[in-house]
This record gives sequence, structure tokens and C-alpha cells, in this order.
Amino acid sequence: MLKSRAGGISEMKKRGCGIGSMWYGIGNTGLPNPSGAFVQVLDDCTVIIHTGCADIGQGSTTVLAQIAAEELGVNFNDISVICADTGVTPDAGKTSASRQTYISGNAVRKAAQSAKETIFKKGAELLQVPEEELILKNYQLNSLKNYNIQISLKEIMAKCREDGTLVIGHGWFNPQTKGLDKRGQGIPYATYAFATQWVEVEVDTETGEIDILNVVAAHDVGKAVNPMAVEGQIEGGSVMGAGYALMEEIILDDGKIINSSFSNYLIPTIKDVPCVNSIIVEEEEVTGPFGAKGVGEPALIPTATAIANAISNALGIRFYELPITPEKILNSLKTANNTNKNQRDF
Amino acid sequence: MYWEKYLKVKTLHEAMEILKLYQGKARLIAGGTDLVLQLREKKKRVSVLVDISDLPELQYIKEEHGQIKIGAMTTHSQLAASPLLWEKVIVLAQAASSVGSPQIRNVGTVGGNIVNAQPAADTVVALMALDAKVVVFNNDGGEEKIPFSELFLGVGESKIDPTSQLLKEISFSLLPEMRSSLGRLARRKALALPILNIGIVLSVNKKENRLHEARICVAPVAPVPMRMKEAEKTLLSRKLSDELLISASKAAFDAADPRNSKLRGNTAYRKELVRVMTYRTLKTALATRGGVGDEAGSITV
Repeated sequence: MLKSRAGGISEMKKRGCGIGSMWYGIGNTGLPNPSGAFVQVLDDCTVIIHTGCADIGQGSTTVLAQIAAEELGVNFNDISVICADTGVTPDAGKTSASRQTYISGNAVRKAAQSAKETIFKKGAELLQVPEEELILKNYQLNSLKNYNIQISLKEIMAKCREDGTLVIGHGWFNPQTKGLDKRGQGIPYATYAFATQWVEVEVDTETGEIDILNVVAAHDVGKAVNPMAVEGQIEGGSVMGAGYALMEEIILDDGKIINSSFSNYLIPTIKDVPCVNSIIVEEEEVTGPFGAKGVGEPALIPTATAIANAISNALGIRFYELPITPEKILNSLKTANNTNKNQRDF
Repeated sequence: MYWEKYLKVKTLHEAMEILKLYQGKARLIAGGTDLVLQLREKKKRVSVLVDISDLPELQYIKEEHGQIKIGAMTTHSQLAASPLLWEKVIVLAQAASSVGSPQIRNVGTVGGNIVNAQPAADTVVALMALDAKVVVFNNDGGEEKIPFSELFLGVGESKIDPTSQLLKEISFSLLPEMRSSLGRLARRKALALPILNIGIVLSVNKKENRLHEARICVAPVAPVPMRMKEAEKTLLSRKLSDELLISASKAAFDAADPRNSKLRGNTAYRKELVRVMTYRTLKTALATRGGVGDEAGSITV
């Protein structure tokens, strides 16, 4: 079928590239927004985490489990996460503002560290070494000075059971911000995410259709706790950005919205999704859990800019209004004294 | 409730009897992908629905004496999966593959698509270019054959009355050296209503490098699917050349009169697309036969 985007017979296509860059504050602007967490290590070396953090599909539950597993030296599969139950879980604020990995991640890490203190105390007793010398990894407590001085986590938990010690930790974290004064000055965020996206487009100068050929998206996330999940965020954000640039539009007729259904308020389908190449940049954020910050909203931000710039590069025309539709492209090509000499002379 | 009675029939005869009995208050339902929405939105009202989806004698695609015959209850998915159509009538296979979404294609029927009479309906545009005819049963026991050119009276208005008539079969003739293609323009690559649908069917005279027959159907540029008669005449007037295709596209541009639409675009833009897409679809149609690019016998333009 001739989908007019398909290369081939007689299209007049122009290609261009564009770049968009962004920086974005992580957390609620200039306001306190803490998260808390509870961690318990059980006799069988499994762990239960309680967190108020609601996973909306971005994978926070997985990331929090990974952070606890790393801190406590146990396998990810031995972690249970009880989350987002206002009946029992501690407040972890909203899942928004790209804040959960950074803030709830810190809360869970601190709670795990708090539980770990009990393990270290017991270990130091049993091994006769100072607590500062110990490392907990792979279900085992070792002395950093002499690796042969070791005891299994299982044994420690058994000893705790013997004398009635429970291994429970709690933690909470609030980013260091300062409320904005009446001139809008203050410290709105404790950390920022940075990104640059590069987009290559192809414009059909006869139908005005735009094809996004490639997206390269480089995002500084501090530390990618789960690289696949970070890529998922970047890809999802870029696709949404593409829809924002080229498709999304509320159409009014006499004040009434005439495209209020998803059949005619358009967002990209799987067939419209461009090739997104994600580059994860890790510039460690010292205040973040294992250096991590956030990527939820940042993934969306630079794409539309890059697309508008790419179209400008392809056609030599700037667009300042979104979405950039085929109709706007054709109108601009006509009015600009940019007569494309290759255009078929009908 | 949107209906009072829902009757699923086992025979054609039963269906026609019920329609006759209810005297206009009963209505046929096929896949229902358009009708149910219309009933819900109160755009149509009905007392009794007569479900004919269980009639296997209305589901077929066959070739008979140089004609293709299709049962009205054949779904778009069945058409889109037909090797016969992909081999011999690619424009219809392409059209059926473009309707709505996979879910709609599995349930919706070509007969329902026709009776729903939206001017740019994908299969309607293809069948108009194929000069199809339909066989319609009336509830007095009679049967009539209606050419596609007479079927559409306005947006959503077909000559067939689903409270008293049953669309039974769609048929069209295969042409010698037949080339066809569907040109479709929409705001995204799937699940989108067409801004423009162009169905082109040609019969090529290879020896003399010209066309025996040319049919171009364009929609939506009017309340009904439109055959571009001037453009067709132009294409038959002389030997094939790039200049001829351009002339034909200009004729289509002149004939198209779409209104300013907030959803589809303004008139000037839509007319321009008619010109561009007619040219491109003509070129594609000439370059392919059925589903196979015909290198040895392709027409040089």
C-alpha cells in the first residue's frame, strides 16, 4: 500500500537534525516533601520493606527493592515490598515531581542502614572486631581487614532470635530546600537532572507529513539503579514528546471541544514510535541513594524542541506553535519565499 | 435499553420474515461496530435488532467466471487475509487492512461498512473504484442488483434500508492486466480516520503503453465517495507518460470540493493532497500488479 511516508516513487523529502537540551529540578519546588520507610530483616534472611511510595508503572517498587538488597547484601528476590497502603505504610509523598527514586530511595536506604546497625552490632560482638571494620555482602558479614574473619547472616539472625533481638530499621529523607521568597528566590531543589536529545526527521514537502527517523536521548540520572527501567522512562518520555510536538491538540469549535475522544485526540501508536537510542549518563549525585536522582519528567522535556529544530533544519522554516501539523508545514512552505526548486511544478 | 428485542436468526428467510413482521421497527445488525455506537448516542433508534452474524452462507470470497463475489457478512479481517484478494485485487485487500483497528476488523463486516455509508469508508472507496454491484434481498421476497454508483445518497445514507432489505453479496469484474492501489492519508499510522482515501483501478494495454480503463475514487471530498470522471477521461485519452499522470491529478484537484474541516484540514490543504496523492497512487498502481511488483512488464512512465 502506498502509505505516503514510504520511500520510493515520487516523494520530495527533506531531512534535518535538531537538538534540544534541558535541566529540571527533582522534587516539589521549594517545599518540604519527605518520604519514610520501614525495613525488617527476618530469621530466614528475607526482608520486608514498608513504603508509602506508589508505583505508577515506572518501576519504583523494583528500584526500592534493589536499593534495600544492595544495602543489606541480600538477593533482590528475597525482598518483599509492601507499598502504597495508607492503612499501614509510612508517608512517602506523591509519585510525581520525578522524586521517588531520589527521596523514597534515600528513605529505604536509610531504613536499611538502620536495620543493618543491629546486624553490625551483633556481628562485632560475635567476631570481636569493631563495627567500622565490617561489610555485609552476599548474606555474609566480613571484616574488611581480614576476610577470613566472617560469619553468615543466617547465623547472626539465629543469634538475634536466641536473645530476642529484632532487626528492624526506619528511615526518612527530605531534600534540603529553601522556600521561595516574594522575589522568587530561594533553593527550590536539592538536585537537578540534565539531558540532551538529538532528533532526525524527514519531511514530505508535498503532503507535509513528518517522519521521525531517529531519536538519541542522553540523560544524566546520577546512577541508573535499574538501567532497563531508565531506558523505559526515556523511551516513553520521548514518544510522548513526539506526540506533543506533532499530534496532540485540543480542537475547539465555538468553545466546544470536538475531539474529546482518544479516537480523534491523537497520540502515537506503536506504529508511529520512532527508534529511540537511550544513553545513560551517570554523574553521581552525592545526596542521592547510590548517587541516583530522577528521570520521570526529564524524559519528556527535550523532545519537542529537538523535533522543532530538526524540522527547521530540514526546511529552513521555524515553527513556534505546537503541534507542528502537515497542514502548517504546507502552509509555511507556500508562504515562505522558500520555493523548493525541486518541487514538482504542477 | 437501546433495543427491546434482540433476535439471532439461523436462516436468511427467518431474517426477512422478521423484518416484514415488524414493518420498519426491526433492523438488521451485522458486526455492530458502527450501529451499537449510534444506538448508544441516540443517533439511531430501533425496537428490534435482527442479528445475522450466524449465517455462514453470507461469508465467502470466491472467483467465478472472471468476477469476484463476496458475501456481505465477510469481515474485514477475512478480506485482509485473503490470498485471492492480495493476488488479484490489491486495492480491496489494502482497504480492508486499513479499517479501524484489528479488533474492529475482526468483528466488522464489509456489508455493514457499505450500509453505514460513510463517504471515506475504506472498503467503499475501493469497491467504488472496482465498479462493484450489490445484490439486495427485499422483504417481499424479491431481489435486486444495485451498482455502487447509485448506492450512496449522502453522509451515512445508503439506498439500502436495513429495516426492510438485506445486502447479500458484493461483486465486481476482474479486468485484463489489472493494476490497483489504495492511497491513504491519515494523521498517524494506525487507528486513525482517513484525511484522504484514494482507490485506483486500472487496466493496462501493455503493447500500446496506454490504459484500457481507469477508475479513480476519492473521499472524503463530498458527502458521497466520488469518482473523478474528468481525471479518468484524461488518463484514457493518450499514451502513458508522467505528464499524463500530472494532468489527471490536476483534473482530480479541480473536481474535488472538500469543505473546511477543523479535524481534517481546510479546503486548500485538502485539495492539494488530492492532487499529490492521486499522482502518487497512480504511480504505485502502475508499478504493481496484485501483491507482486511486476518488473518484467512494468509500465515505464
